[in-house]
Amino acid sequence: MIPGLGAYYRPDRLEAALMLLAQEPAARILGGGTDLLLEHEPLHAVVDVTQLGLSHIRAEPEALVIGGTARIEVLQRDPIVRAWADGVLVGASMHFGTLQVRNMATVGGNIAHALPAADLVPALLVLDATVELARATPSGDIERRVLALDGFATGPFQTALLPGELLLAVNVPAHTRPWRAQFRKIGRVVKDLAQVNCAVALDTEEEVVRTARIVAGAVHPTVTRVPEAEAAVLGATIGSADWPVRVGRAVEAVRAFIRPISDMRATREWRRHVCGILVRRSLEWVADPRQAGRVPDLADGPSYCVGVQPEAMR
Amino acid sequence: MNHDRMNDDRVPLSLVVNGAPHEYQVRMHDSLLDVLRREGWTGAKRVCETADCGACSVLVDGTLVDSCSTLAFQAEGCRVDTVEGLAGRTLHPLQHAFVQHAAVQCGYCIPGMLLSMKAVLDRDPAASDAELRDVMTLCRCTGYVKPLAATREYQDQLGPRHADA
Repeated sequence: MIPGLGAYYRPDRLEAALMLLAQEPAARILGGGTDLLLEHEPLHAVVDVTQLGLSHIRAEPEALVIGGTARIEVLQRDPIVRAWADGVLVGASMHFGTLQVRNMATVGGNIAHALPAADLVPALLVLDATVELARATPSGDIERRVLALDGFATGPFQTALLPGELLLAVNVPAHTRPWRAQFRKIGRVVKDLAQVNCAVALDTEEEVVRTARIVAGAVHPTVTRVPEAEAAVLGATIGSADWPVRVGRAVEAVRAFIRPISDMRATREWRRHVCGILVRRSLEWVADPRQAGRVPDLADGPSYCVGVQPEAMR
Repeated sequence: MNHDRMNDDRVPLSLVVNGAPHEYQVRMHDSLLDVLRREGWTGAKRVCETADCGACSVLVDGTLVDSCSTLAFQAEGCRVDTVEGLAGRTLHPLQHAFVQHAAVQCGYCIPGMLLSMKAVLDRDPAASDAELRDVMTLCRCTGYVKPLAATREYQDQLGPRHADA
């Protein structure tokens, strides 16, 4: 827990919250607090943004809209989210810490904290998500803008957020054809932060890959798309003799692109190797017609997300 | 609601703990666990303090949270249920099942374990084994087998009740 706190604010209107954030430049934004409150520095002030009516999850004609303070556990149980792109967001939120953490942690917090190992971000990135931001200007107006999630995190714990700016919502664009997508994670234990995570998404037309998204997490200063890996499978035909070759190229592209570090959870060499394995397995999974539309289930258990066996370390 | 005071100043905080309203004097940075334990609700245990183990679990407006990593003020005005609130004149049937199965060794994680199991079964009395295992708090003695067996036995009692509701 934090050793000291100067002020706790819990406004119930967005305008009031943005004014507070504009007037208190040192104030920190408090969602669930599952990251912020584990820090060991006293905080000047926190602004609790959970009472601003930003916890909605709804399908609009153009997009799935997820409020910034929607809780992770609510997200993973939402029927719209479960039906969206093979439930890739369910896969990413199902193993997101313990139930206690999922009950508190917010979608906006996971994005805005910019942890390189954030679990939800890979799944949102492969779906081309955008983030809606707002801040109060000195004249008291509310200025809103929308940014692509790709590029929003600029480094570990750093984002494009301006001082006093709040993440209101994340928008996931609707596609004309449902995308095949999957999230995978490996951790020392499943409740822990990812040692490595990844997500892939493919838009296919008669088995030809028209759009590809390949994202790696916990292996780079930010959760990152790997354009070279996406290019490797673009235009490939799933199930053709060429397909495994393309997948192999994507795996090598990922391993060449990422810049993992060694820390208490894993070494850089291990992360690089295992990241390739997770990407390969995810691409094989989304290319498998037997898995189409299958929402990740807890019962998939370790074989799905943890416990890569030595013989599988190819 | 705004609170802007020096760190060690105490400010009033209203909580409804185990059904009874209380006003406590708390420091701004106190965790919910700090306040509960100071006020005698020691069923919530202080262990990892990093939101990993679950021994400090309580229900805030029915939602399971780690009280160690929740500011007391985040729960202002809320209903907080600790393990002390489970039993009435007799043990809660889930507690009784834990006793029957000897699903306790050192016992330190058990308040969190009981509240975790209850939270899941309150939401879905037919919760699968995978769901129960998913929410078990960190325990270094029982090996999880007996707590799971005890919870299943309690769950068996819930079946008909669920149909009534």
